Amino acid sequence: MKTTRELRKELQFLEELPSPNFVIQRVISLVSSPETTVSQLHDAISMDPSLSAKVLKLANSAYYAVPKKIAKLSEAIMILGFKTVRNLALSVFAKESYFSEPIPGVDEKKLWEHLVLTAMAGEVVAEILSFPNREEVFMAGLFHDLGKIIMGLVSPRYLSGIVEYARLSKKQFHDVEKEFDAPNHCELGELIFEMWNMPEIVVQVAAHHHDPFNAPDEALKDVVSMVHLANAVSNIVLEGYGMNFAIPLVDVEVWKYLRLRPKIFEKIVNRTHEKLRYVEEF
Amino acid sequence: MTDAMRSGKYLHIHLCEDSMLYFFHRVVLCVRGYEVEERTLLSSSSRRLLVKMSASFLREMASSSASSDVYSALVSVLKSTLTLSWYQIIVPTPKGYEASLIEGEPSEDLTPYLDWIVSKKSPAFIHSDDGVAILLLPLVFKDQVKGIFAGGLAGTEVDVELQESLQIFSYLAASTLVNIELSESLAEKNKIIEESWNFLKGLLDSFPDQIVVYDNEGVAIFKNQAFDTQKMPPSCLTTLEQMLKSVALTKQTVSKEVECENERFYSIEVMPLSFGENDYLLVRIDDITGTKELERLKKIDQMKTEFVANISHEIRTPLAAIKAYAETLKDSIEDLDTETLSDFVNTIAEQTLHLEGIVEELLDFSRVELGQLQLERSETDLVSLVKNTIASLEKLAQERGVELRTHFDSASVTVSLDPHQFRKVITNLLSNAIKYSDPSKAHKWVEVEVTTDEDNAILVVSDNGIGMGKEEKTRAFERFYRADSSLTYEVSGTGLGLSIAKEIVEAHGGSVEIESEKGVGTTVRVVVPK
Repeated sequence: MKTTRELRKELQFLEELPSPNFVIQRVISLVSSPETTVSQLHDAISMDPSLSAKVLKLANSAYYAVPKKIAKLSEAIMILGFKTVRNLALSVFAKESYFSEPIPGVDEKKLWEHLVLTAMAGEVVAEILSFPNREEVFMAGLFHDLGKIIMGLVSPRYLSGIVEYARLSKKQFHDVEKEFDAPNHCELGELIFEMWNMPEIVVQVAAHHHDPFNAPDEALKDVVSMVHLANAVSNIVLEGYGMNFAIPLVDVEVWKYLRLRPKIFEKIVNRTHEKLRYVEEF
Repeated sequence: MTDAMRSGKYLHIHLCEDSMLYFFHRVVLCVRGYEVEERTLLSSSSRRLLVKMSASFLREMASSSASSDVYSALVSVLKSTLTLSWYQIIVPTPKGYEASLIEGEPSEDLTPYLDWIVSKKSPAFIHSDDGVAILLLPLVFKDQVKGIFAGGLAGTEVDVELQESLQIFSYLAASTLVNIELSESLAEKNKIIEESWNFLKGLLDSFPDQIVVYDNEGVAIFKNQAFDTQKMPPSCLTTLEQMLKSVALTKQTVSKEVECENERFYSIEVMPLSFGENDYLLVRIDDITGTKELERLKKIDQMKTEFVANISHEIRTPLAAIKAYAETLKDSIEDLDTETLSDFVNTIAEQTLHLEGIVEELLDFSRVELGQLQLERSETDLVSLVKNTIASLEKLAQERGVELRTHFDSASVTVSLDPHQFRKVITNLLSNAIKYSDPSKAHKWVEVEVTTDEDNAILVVSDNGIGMGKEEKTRAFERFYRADSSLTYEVSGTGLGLSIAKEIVEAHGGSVEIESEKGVGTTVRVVVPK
């Protein structure tokens, strides 16, 4: 961690990276306050007409398959919920800021699909394991590997080196990072989300989705473990999209902690596979 | 937390330091083998309303344990939280959706939304055209929608807290429902188990055999009815305890037949029994008195058959001689000289006496058998009685080449006894000793001894004859029993003598003991009180 802290000083331009604008920040803070009403959130998003339109489009997507056409943002909030609408806004922000232009060394389209599918897999996991806060898992899943793209922006050569080495040696991206013993995508993600004041859950998942049992906050262990599992599932369904070139493994401790069984795991993989066709919508 | 789980008869809601909520439901806690769900809920913002709803749900459920009550509790909680213009519970079934607990009319047809909400698995507020939102609240547990609450929201404004609380609350209600259903199905299973146990117990109770199972500490953990009703006498129980100890050590099945003081025979079988990780001892006790009695009767029947055959032979031999001599006399009495005549007549007389003796013995036997033996006691000198008897057997002894020896402590021993009957005893013992002499021995002898002690006169007849084995010895006094019972008639006799002798001595208040070794000889000791 020390190296990362040092890195922070050196890499001033991290601050110059696109960060959540006022509207997005307002959405995040509104949804975490219990008193927020439908109209308040509606008004906040409406301040950005382009965001509103994109959120509405996503709300009407086949992924949510709402039987009735949603014409207004307030209806989307009522039907899909505050948190889902927040997730949609975040996804619009992430895609526009980081995945709309080519970045050297990264197949940004594939990485985006990996992130979206991990978020969906996270919802599937939460559903099957009856965890009630599945929107949080979705959000954390969506951002868990953003560190990889940050890495591409900071040092494209370093990133493409890792990817190339991982591809040739058929290894996991993260295992190669460990071999190189340099700042890794988890640390970069943690760093940038802390800078953005993102919810703690996003920060922790980004930092610990490869070692869920090192997460400092006991209370977040559930979500971190679920995203860890969702990441593995997403890597199985979309092989190589997350820049991993080995068979993804689920941590034994996570397996035990979530009380997984081979049957349940199979169900999660199959259900995630069904979600694949909705990935493009995001 | 674990304390709460153990004590938990009802739903537990814990507000922990980290502002998270945990819940458990009583049913989970009392069901063995069911994994307790423990999930951290990330809803620090929505605690107040959720706790309020959960608490009132808990109150509603406190007095009930039927799964059908969950829905009415849910309705009552939602009614007090929201302003509902109408509501109903919709349960997905294989045949379609079934509505129940209906109150009021839905403002819009719900059908298009039902499949969607079942796959969405989280609450939604449908915005309807007349401004009344429709709440669809699915009860989801482990990826399964148990039921849907549908209701019209008249005035309630939807905020983050309400949405979040409803989402978690529906999870709570669903897990309560599932747990109650689980406990109901377990109760049902228990009932089936109990029924089949009763059936088995009934079967075991209807057995005539006694069946008991002991655990390895010697406590009877199962007894069938027969064991409880047929009380085992203490001596049998002692035997049983010994058997249990030895089987517990050896792990080998042991069975024994025991005769008890209540004159019943029991067959006891103890076998080791492993069930799971524990060792038990299974005991089966069978009352075999009937079988034993039958065996005894069969033996007696066989002995009687042998007896009849034997006696016919015994009677026929002298009778044949008498008949032959008498016929010769009848046909040619004039041709015979005096010497031959007297020889013939002597033989006839001798054989008649022999026959008389056999008949006499039979009569004695039946008298003894009917309990009609009457003693005519007089002061008798046992020594001279013995001497007289020996004199009458001198001839038999000579024929068999047996030396008769006597030993008397004093010249006369006076005892009060029936001389006629007692003579039979002496005759019988001596003639047995002579008859069963060992032909393989060069020097054959029989010794008669008369001694006394303070109270008794003792008569001992010993020989170096063929002797008896253990079994023959114990059966020697049995009626009809003959050492040689194979109908080969090597040795003549009715097989009644020794049994009669014993009866006579016992009628005198005395006793007979027998010592014998096969191939060495036999000693019979008669003790009569003076």
